[in-house]
Amino acid sequence: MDAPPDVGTLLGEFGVGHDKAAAELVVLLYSELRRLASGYLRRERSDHTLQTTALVHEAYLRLSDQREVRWKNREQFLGVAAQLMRRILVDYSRGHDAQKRGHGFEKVFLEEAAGVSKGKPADVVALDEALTRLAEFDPQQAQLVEVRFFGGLSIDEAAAVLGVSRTTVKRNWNLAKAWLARELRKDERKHA
Amino acid sequence: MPEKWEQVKELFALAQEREPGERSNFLRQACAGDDSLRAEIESLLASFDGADSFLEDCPAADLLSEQSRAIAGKKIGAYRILREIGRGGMAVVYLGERDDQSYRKQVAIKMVKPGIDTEQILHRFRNERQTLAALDHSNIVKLLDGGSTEDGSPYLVMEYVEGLPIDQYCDLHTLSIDDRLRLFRQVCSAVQYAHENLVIHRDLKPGNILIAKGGVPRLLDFGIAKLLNPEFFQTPLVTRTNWRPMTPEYASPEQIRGQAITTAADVYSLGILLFELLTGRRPYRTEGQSLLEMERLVCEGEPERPSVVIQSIAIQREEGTAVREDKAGTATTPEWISSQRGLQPAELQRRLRGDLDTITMKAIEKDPGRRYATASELSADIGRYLSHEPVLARPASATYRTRKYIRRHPVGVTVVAGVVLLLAGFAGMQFFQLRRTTRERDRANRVTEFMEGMFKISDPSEARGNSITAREVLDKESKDIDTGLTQDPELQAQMMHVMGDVYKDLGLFPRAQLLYERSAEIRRSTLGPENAETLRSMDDLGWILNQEGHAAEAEKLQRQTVDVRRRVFGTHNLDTLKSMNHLAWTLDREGNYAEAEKLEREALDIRRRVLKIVDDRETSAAMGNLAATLGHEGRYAEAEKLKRETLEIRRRILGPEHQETLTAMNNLAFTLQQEGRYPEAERLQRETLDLQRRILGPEHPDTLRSINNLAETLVRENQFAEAEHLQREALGVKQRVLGPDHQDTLWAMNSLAWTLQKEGHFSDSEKLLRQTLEIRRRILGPEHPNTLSTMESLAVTLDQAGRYAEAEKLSRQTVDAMRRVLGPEHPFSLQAADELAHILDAEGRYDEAEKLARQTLEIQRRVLGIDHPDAASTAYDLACILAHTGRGDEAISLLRECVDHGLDATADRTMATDPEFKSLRKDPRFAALVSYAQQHAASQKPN
Repeated sequence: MDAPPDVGTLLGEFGVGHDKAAAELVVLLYSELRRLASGYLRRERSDHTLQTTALVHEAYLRLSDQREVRWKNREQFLGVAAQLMRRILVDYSRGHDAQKRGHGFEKVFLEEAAGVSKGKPADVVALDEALTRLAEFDPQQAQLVEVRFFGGLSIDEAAAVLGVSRTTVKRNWNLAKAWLARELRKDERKHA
Repeated sequence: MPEKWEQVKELFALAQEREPGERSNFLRQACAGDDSLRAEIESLLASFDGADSFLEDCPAADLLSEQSRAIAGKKIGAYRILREIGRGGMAVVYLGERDDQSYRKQVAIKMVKPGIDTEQILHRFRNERQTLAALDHSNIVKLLDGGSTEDGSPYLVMEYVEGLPIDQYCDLHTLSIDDRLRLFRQVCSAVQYAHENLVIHRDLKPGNILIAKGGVPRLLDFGIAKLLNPEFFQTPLVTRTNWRPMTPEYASPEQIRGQAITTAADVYSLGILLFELLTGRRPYRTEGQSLLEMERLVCEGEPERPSVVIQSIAIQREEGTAVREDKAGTATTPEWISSQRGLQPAELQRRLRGDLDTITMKAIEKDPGRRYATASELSADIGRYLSHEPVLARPASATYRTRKYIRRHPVGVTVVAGVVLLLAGFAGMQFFQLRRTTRERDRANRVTEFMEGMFKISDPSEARGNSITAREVLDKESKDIDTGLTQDPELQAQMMHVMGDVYKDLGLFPRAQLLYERSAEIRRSTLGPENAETLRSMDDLGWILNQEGHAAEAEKLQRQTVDVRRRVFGTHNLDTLKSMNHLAWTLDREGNYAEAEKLEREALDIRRRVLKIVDDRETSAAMGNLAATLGHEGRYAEAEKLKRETLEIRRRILGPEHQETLTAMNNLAFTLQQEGRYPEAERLQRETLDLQRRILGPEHPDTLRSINNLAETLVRENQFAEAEHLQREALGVKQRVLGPDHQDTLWAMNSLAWTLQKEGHFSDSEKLLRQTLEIRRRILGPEHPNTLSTMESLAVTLDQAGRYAEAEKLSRQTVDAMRRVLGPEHPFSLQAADELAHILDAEGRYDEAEKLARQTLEIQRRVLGIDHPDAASTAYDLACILAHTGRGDEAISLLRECVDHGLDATADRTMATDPEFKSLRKDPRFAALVSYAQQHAASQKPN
């Protein structure tokens, strides 16, 4: 669960290039997000509504302040941050699953994912897996979900990060949601 | 269905654009017989309809919800936790009560959230504690206690403010616009007070302003407040918002951009609050926006004026777009908002239009330089509005409004950073850091360049070897500043003040005085007599005046400064305490030890007991001052005890090798020497000197001072050769490094002359003293206390050399001048009178001598107390006169008094061998006295 991020992939994907400074920055961001997330995630009460956005924002403020190296732009940062957030959240879920298995196994749930089936929260790990499947035939949609869901970006910001129009984002978002919701429901049936 | 994904994508989107009822038909046509494609799209559409909130919200914290630690009932320090009452990003606040039977007072206990107690968070916590401790204002929440739990996590105990956030309070009580404004002004005064105490709150918002019982606003949450302590360079004047998620709705553009933050950021937040109190809305519609969008709005959007906002709510409502539900589920209609203020919408709009619009908009200008310069200016303008006077704020001109949209280039960030580092030495420089016109940026650049040069040489330890050059630069620059910045008197005054500081550090007091005077003068007329900056200039001017020997003038100014600071900032304020200490030091110089001691004790007590600043540099300095006064009062044992405490604190908080720790060692050794404990003093002085030579270098002023102190001990131990050698060496360095006119150099000359006199090298001593006298007369004036002190030394040398007539003449001059300048009851005047009596005795003018000695002794015993060494010294001299005139009985009984009261521990030796008592040697009572003195001395010695 502590595997370092695949920096090369990240950088390639976001057009950063294999610049050493940028690579360092990604590692830094990853560890920063992890640290913030672990603080919040492990110890928070369930009623505290800390947003992913806030985490990413906090990380950004810290890193943009501390480092001489600057991100090319905010969009770039947000894109990378979203992917890192996904990794972190999934890691945590997996970690918890592993820990809890056999001791009155309890899944870690997304309380707000009510649309899938009311009252039954979505599973981050399952979502992650479904997202990976989606990426196989539509990487852009997968990335959209990543930046919106894990990175907390709005439609407009996502459009800026992905370099597409607002309308495209809206359309893709709806379809991605529909597809993923269906996938997750399938998973549930399988496991039930 | 990945293989037909492109088609799925397109048809899904198109189907979604149609009414649900038409989709089926559409798909049948569009899929043209491809049933699996149609089924796929229909399945996705169905999935979508059932997934409305899916993925729309990702509260990461909820992801892994765990039980919060069951904390209720837990004890923290002397408090028992009742329940959680709030939590923010970093801290949890609990309601608690004191856990003893004595009284049950509810308190708020703030703790760092478990798991995120990183060094930065802990630092913030300490920051808040320090900040709150420094603030004593009826509208700011009070710090009651603080400490660490068993597991080491820190907590703060604050008074528990039971009340509503200001916005809710106003609405609940249907406060009128005027009442809201009055309440708001109280908030301004609290913020202003914080600013004057060098604290920027940085997170002002309704949630942090609770209205307590009786409608009194209380400011809380100084967790991210910035302390602008001018004492320490490591605390920069302005700060960049680092890493904390701010509250974007109330954050200023510069805060959001992560640029330099000054008090103007708080003024901005106050402006947003004012906007909200007036209109029920904030200027930017940030609800439901992402952070990025919010930031864009705040940094670039143009807000509507309050009166227009009221109107536009009405319009938007007609369009059905702007019905915002508040927590109670009431729609924020213009009617509702107006009714909360006891008005109809049209009336409210009328009230807001004009002055209130202008005032609010000025407070939330994007450019900090265009806002109200201070919270009190904002408040004052509202005051003018309330009393129907014309307000100072002017609506922004059309040109300016257009210009505002021109995207700002990231100006000044580097300039600011540079300036900030250099100017951290004093607060209030925000004026020019934030002005962005080219002209002013040029000026900022000029100031930066100028300051860079200045600061490199301001510390005498770094100025060694080049102080001449440094002075040339300084003199030139200070002349420039005299004429160069007249168009901006505030900046000019600031520059003058800083230059004054530099001259002060170089020991060039007359020039420093001049600059401080000008700075105080300009500030008084531009900023007013109660402004924090004005007071700072006055405080520093007072200090310099005292250093220059203008004690009376200094006292007057310092009393004024202390009075105003007490009144404006309260007594529990670090600046007030500082000026109390400065005043005390002047009083000490004036020989008014009692009042000096009283003030020093008061200030120290407040620091330690009220502000709970115990282990702190400034506190240890305040202890050092009190110890020095006690020493002057001859209360060496108390002085020693306090100096030991001071040393202990510094060793603990600064480390054993810190410069100030070494100074404390030196100071302690000085008292030991005064107590006659020469070997101990010598040992400590040698230890200190070794450390200083190694750590500070052989030419550091502190090192040189220690050399002199050691030499003086050695002289008392009759080790003249080493003493003289050390002093000559130190003097040579001082003359070279500090210059021949520096006060330390002159002091070293005086000290060497004293050694020479003790050695019997009277003519060398005389020569050196005349040289010193000449310089002091030239630099300090003929009646400066230091000049007079040199005259007294010279009189002693002449007396010892047997040149009584000359000695008497000089001594009389000295006594007269001292009585005139310092007052007839000043300890120095009395010492000089004692010396004159001694000379008269030597001249055989016993009547005159006796009369003067008795008179002097009487005053000394009254003013300084019978135990004071000065009184003992005069009594000793009087005993000599009595012995010379055949009154052995009285002489012996007087000497016995001396032994019991105040004569130093070497009195036994002095007395036994003193030729003055030749006539008493055969008297058995004298022998008994000497052995009594020996026993007494032995009993006084520490183990």
